[in-house]
Amino acid sequence: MPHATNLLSITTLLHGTWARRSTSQTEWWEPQGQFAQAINGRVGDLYTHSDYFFWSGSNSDSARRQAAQDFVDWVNQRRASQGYLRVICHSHGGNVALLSANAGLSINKLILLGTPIRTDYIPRMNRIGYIVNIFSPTDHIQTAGSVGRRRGEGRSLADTNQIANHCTIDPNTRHSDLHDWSVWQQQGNNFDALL
Amino acid sequence: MAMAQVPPSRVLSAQIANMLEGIYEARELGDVDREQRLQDQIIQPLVWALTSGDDDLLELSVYCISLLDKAVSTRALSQAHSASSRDLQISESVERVARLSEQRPY
Repeated sequence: MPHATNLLSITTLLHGTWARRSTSQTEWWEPQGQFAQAINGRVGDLYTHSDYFFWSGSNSDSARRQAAQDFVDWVNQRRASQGYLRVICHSHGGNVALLSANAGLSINKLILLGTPIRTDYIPRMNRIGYIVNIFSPTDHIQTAGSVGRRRGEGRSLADTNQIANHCTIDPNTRHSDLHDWSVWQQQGNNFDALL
Repeated sequence: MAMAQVPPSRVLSAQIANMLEGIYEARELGDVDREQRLQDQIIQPLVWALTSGDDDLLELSVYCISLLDKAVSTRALSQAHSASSRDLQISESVERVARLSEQRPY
């Protein structure tokens, strides 16, 4: 049974390929993590129960598609009908979210952090209200995650009235810095204003 | 013989990423010699990445191992395992990279 149901508004984090649960430290994407807590300080509706979403992180299309279906089920068990959903995703977690929208999940706001932009994971905007796509121009991990399936340069989406791209002010921002709250608040980034 | 120095993580990630692109391109073009040469060259930087303890380099290693020929990825993982035998955390990371990358990404 989910620890909370019929929620009118949910914000949740979707980790990427390498993220793991650790017994010795709290990870950035876990509700008690520093980044998650900072996000919650701004939005107030972060899902903080112990049954937060987690997926395998395996580097395969099948693993990402399975995670997407699991995420659809996870949200549907907890969100009220017509409830608001904000998802903040790092790396391939973003592609899990895009796949979940393709599988029918409605996402009001989707924030992508260093998500490998690929031809096999195209955003279907009839299910997504707005995408904020944040990337660093020297993030080699992001582009490595799209070898063989890269769309464009593998970092940005087309800017529309539903999609906005944001490049980090520091071109040397690392892949894992994209979920660092101090980087979010950095002058010239101000990503916290995009929540 | 002098030991090669491990480059800074930003340089190392750029090196590995560039070689990965080259391997994929050579494979697509059917340039077997170039592909093999690059796969041989990527092993040492990849071992450094696998034993770095750096999350970004470890994630890059996952993508790298997924793309390489099985024999090459096994060599890299084996060398990294040998190099990390006294460090449990690094040893676990190497095993985790192997686990996360065991399937072809496409």
